[in-house]
Amino acid sequence: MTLPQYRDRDFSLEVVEDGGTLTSKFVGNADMAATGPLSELLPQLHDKLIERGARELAVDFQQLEFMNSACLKLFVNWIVQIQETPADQQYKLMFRSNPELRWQRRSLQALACFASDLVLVDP
Amino acid sequence: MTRFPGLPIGQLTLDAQFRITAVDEAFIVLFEGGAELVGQSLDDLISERDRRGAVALSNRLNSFRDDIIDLALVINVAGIDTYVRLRIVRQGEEVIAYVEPSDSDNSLTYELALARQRWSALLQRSDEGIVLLSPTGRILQHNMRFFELMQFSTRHGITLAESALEGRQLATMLPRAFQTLADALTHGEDEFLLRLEIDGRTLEAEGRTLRLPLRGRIETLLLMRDLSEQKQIADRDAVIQKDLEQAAKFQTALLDQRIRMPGLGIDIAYRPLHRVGGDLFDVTRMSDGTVRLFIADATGHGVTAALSTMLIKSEYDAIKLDGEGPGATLTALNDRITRSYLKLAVMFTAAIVDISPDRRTIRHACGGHPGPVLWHDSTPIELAEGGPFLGAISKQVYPEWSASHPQWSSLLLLTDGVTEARDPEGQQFGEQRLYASVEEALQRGKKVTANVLAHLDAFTASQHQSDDITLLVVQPELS
Repeated sequence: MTLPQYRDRDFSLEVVEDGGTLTSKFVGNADMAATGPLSELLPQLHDKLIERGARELAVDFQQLEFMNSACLKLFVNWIVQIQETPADQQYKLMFRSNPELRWQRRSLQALACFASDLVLVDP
Repeated sequence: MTRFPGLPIGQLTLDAQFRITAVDEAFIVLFEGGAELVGQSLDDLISERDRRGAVALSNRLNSFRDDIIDLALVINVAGIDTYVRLRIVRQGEEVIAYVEPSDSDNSLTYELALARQRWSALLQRSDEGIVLLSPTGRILQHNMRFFELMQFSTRHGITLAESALEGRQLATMLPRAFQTLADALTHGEDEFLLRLEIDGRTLEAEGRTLRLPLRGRIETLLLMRDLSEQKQIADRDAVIQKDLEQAAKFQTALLDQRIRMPGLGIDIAYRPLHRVGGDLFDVTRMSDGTVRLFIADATGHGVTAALSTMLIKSEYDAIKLDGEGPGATLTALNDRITRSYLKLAVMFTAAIVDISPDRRTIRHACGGHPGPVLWHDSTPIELAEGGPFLGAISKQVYPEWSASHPQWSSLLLLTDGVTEARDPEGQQFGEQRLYASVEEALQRGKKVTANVLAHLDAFTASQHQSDDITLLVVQPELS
């Protein structure tokens, strides 16, 4: 099964499977140029996770320097999409953040507020 | 035995019916084969992939007398296609074909083929009408845009087909309104630029003579542009610009930066990325004397974000004096926006700060927005932040914090366009540079927002601003 991948000069998204754990790795700057690709990739990723019956997805932001509000909005939509999925098919998003990047702390906390049972932020 | 030592040229000898009668050694070395070609027709040598070359060769052979045939085409020898220059001449009873591989970058024939491809691509994709004329003014080549712009018709008003243009004398086909162009072409002017009016349209004709050494004038290149289309676009742009200026005026009126509050100095800087932006602020005096600060940052930039700020401001204005605390006010604002405008997906971050009537207690709440920063003497204190984004999901709870700060000297609220501005190397301005520039202003008695923006501009250098920027600084005035 092909997992969504994306790479351009400033931003990349890679989804890998390691020992049964799926990790989506976001790297670089997710600015306006990333909004279009992410708006297609995140729903695709959701469909793949449902198809696989995944219970959890690690979302690695440790090398993500910046994400603009339009991209963050796509994550809100993603969380809503998970919430609207039947309970037995829902999966958790485990964000791995970079504590040195202040925007991550603020924005990931803001995302986690929407669904504290589905969205976890480390640290 | 090679006839051209040192040059990559092979030789084929042909009979009067253009059948190959001999293949020289140089040909066999160059193309790694060819002895088997003896007895075959020259036509059979042309690759199946180059039908155009085959047709061109056939046409030239049909009319071949004592001239020279000089063509670039693809031949196939021993199953391998090679792009070659083929020159054919008569030598007594025999016909000789000189074959020169031309598929490397330093080959003139290769460069010629590439230049033809480039010209063809440019000709077909150009927004300008392009036509090439012979020295006698006949149409040699043109693009579709030229045909569209000229709208040729006969004297009886019958529209000409595009295929009917080639070989015709352009000057004789032009309508009376284009007499100046016809004159320029007839007189063979080297360069001209003419403006032509016809049927409410304005066309521009730019002519230029193409010359070759010794030969002189070879062709005339004529470019035709529809200035009326450009004018329509310019007019439409002007209307959009005017609308944007009006929208900017509305937003400026909405975001009045000249706010006065008893006992407080208020200093605001608002710099949208475009003429209008997605940042929003408000300063209100409550009935009990509390001063309420509000700042918000709608997703996106430009007109869409600006329209979002109108909705947010309108809904905020409806509840800001209801007497609820900052957290409950954000909850109410979020519910109103999600209830009325959920389909518009107006997502935003926001913070509300209440400064008590005695100016000693700060109570605040945030939703995905940078928390307020308070200065005690020259030390910045980052107040707590947290809470979900607004406008996305209803029934959210926004945490609220309240603390006594009897000695504060300045309070700063901002949108993330300030700290996330980047220098040419991609470094962010960040909190530390921001705080240093605030402290510098405080120590030197400068206006804080102006000093921060000056440092920000110096930091970002020639980088374009990438987000809306809002700074709101409040300072208790000494009595």
